[in-house]
Amino acid sequence: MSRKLLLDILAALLVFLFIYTSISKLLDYDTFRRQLGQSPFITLYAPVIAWALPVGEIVIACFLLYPRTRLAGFYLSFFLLCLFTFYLMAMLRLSYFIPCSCGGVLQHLSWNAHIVFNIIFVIFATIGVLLQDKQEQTPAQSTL
Amino acid sequence: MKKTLSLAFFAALCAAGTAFAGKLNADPQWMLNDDTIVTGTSTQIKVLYCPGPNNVQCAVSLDGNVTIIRKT
Repeated sequence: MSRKLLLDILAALLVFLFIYTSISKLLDYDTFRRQLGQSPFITLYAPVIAWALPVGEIVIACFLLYPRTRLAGFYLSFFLLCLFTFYLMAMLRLSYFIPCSCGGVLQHLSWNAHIVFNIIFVIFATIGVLLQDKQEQTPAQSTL
Repeated sequence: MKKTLSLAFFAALCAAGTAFAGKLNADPQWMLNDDTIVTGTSTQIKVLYCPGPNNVQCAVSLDGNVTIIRKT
């Protein structure tokens, strides 16, 4: 499998994840906002996060769509997914029985399954960063 | 670039379609502690009927899923 095709597939997977979860959150905005309001860590910021998070996910997906901004998109995906994973781990320690404020079918996953799911996508984003960075450096090196 | 755009855009379109289609699906049913049957996603049930983190059972899914929601 060529590097470019692998990058396309990784970007497509992340785009699917971010677009699906962001639209699901926006379609169920009221519930999502109240759910965030119950979270022990982010209650104060729930009104802002409730719209900033889906919008941020859509922006990252847009970054991943275009080759020029794809590296930034992979970096942002990596940091956002790491943030989600740390949040999930913290929630798991605090209370096992709070359903996730995730969008769509992801809210039906158990906490452990969700952490594994996130880690897999963190790995995808990491591979994307490394390969995209290499891809962008390759033409520059060839001109030297 | 055209191929890249088509693959990523296809993924975006599929994601949007899946999200909207999921919204149209019927929500699962839940039984609360007082034997009341309510309908909604796990998130909605937790927010509306089982607020707060704790280990007391509040609702059980009736759709073959073993999910149990707990409340304060």
